[in-house]
Amino acid sequence: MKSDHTEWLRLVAAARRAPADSRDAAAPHGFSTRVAALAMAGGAEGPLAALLERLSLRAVGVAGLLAAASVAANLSPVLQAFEDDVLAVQDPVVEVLAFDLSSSP
Amino acid sequence: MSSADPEPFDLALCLERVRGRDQLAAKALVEHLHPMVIRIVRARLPRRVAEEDLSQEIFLKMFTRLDQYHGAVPFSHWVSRIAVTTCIDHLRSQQRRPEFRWADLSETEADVLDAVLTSDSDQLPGDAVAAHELVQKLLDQLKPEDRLVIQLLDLEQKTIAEIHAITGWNSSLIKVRAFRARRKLQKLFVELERRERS
Repeated sequence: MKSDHTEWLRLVAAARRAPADSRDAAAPHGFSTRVAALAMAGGAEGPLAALLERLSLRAVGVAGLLAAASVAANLSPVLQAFEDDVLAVQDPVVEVLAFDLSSSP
Repeated sequence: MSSADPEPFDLALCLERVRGRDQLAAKALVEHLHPMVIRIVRARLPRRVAEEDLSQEIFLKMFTRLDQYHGAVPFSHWVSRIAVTTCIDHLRSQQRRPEFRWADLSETEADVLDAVLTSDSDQLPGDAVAAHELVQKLLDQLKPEDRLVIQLLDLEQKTIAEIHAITGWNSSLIKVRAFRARRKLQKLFVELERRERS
């Protein structure tokens, strides 16, 4: 099968012939001591912070669900009240008719 | 066995001691894992980030999350995933990738690129180190995740299973990312060839 990526494959084959990284892979002097000390010092609050993080995320989720449920439960009364207000306050025809009806004998 | 042989590293015991807040065990664990972590960091080191800072961040994440390790995968795989994700997060935070330009290439890199674009021979003339540098510059054009997959697959010649072990990504995702990366590189070569001819 002819590859559609021959340029890339030829280039990468040439790149693989480059000598391997000969830099020292051992930890530099003092690195492991510093990291271990930092890890152990921060570790006392680590699990607590992780627990708080988990609880906070759950709290956000529960709060979101409660907010959505309360909106769903109260949506129709709110919309109804809003419509009543609009009809009663903003519609001049209703105002005039209501006035006429109430003033007629 | 001679007395000069180094004592084999008991990872299970070391992890148990680290969980018990033993600082010496934590130090031993860092020293044991450092060669693996630094290889990952050096191969995927974002620009302007010191390798020591990045490896320290990886180790601190490892210690913080140690309670989440339950032995489902080998510990080295678990740590390598933390290392890979940390490198990708750093690469992603850089957002803008440097534009690939002929003018920024060294003379030997330009020669290698010219040979790739104009010759059909499998044996490219020039320096393998220059080819390696050129590959890194081309990889800089890819998204961090795509770059990682193509680097592991084509440059380091890892199998899909090995890449899954290192990254935790499933084989379909790895193949999709490899396909996307190669397509982007191919587009880049076409564009470079067009510019070369013009």
